[in-house]
Amino acid sequence: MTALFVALCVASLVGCTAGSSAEAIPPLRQGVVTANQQSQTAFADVNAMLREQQLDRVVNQPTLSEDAFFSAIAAEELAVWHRAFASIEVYFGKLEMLLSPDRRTEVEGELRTLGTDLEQRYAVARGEELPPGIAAGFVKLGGLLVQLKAGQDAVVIIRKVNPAVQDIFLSMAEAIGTRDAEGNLEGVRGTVWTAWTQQLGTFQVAFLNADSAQKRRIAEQYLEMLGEREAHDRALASFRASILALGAAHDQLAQGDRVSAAGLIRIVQEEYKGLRDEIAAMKAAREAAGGGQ
Amino acid sequence: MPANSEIKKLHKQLMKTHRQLSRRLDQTSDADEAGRILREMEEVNFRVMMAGRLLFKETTAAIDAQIAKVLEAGAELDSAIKELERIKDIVKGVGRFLTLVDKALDAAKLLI
Repeated sequence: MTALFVALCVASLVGCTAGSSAEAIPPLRQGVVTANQQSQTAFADVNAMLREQQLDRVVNQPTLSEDAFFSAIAAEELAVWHRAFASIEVYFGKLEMLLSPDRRTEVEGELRTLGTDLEQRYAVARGEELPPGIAAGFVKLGGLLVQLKAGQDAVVIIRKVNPAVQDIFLSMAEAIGTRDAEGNLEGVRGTVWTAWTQQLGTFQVAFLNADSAQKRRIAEQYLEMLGEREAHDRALASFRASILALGAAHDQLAQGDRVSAAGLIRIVQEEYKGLRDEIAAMKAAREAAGGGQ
Repeated sequence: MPANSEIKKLHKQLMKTHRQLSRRLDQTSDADEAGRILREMEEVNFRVMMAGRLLFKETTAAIDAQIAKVLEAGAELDSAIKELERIKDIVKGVGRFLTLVDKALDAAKLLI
């Protein structure tokens, strides 16, 4: 669904309001910066939501211990995601120079240096800090950049490194998760959906214990929470769509198409903002109504 | 290489078990039974969070073998949740399953 959305966005933007490939890079870089912010916000939201669940659980435990609490996405992992987006932004910065005829000589050497840096940094990170696919993608990208030949056509270079860049974005998207063949959510989205289902269960039990006067109110709260679960998932799906949009835009550059990356990134950013507003509004409504059971 | 495939399978199995319990909760009109099912769901949900955290860590062959046993037990439990009449038996089955899950998760956590 999200992939289709991204494909439709790209298809609708190719050939319209198009500038040169170099002009497409600044909005792409901005897109990376925004996706980085989205990752930090989305993961902090997930951690806060799951921390509440851990608190709910611990009151039913015989003892209180630190094992009952952990960050679903640890602080060091948040830092690693941040660094990964920063690496991508640096890469896009070099691409912008590569696509500008007056700056390309100086950037060829810089790209090779960046390649060595990525190879070394992410070979160490492999399997430890980052989802393995992302680290492997960076190592592959670094290796390809190191092998660049002077004077090569910019689009040829972008095309050559494109599979590695796609690996990075696809692995990031996989970490967020999508629906499997049976329609069930995986990855971070699966964890969050399950946590919301758990919350909904508290209303189901409260309903059975309530008198008829209370039942309607509980049913209303249950209904509101169903909406919140949907909205939270759509917010994570939007973050995933942003990542896929960045990959799609790079793919368009590799094909030599004049895609309006600015428009593409804007669409995803606006959708993300809309959904965050929706979640905030629903949370506020629930708090105003007294929240809880 | 995408997510760790064995932990991913475990994560999926735990979410599936949670869904099965949730369906059972949907069908329960007895408040006490519902409360007990919810407590079991809470414990499974906690393991979903733990497995989700480990989703992208590399494991060892020994841990993968342990997870394979957990998956077998999980599939049996899912059928039992649908068929068992007495909640007491479901609670017992979930408890046994989570003991296996915890062993696998504890081993995987040591690799962090």
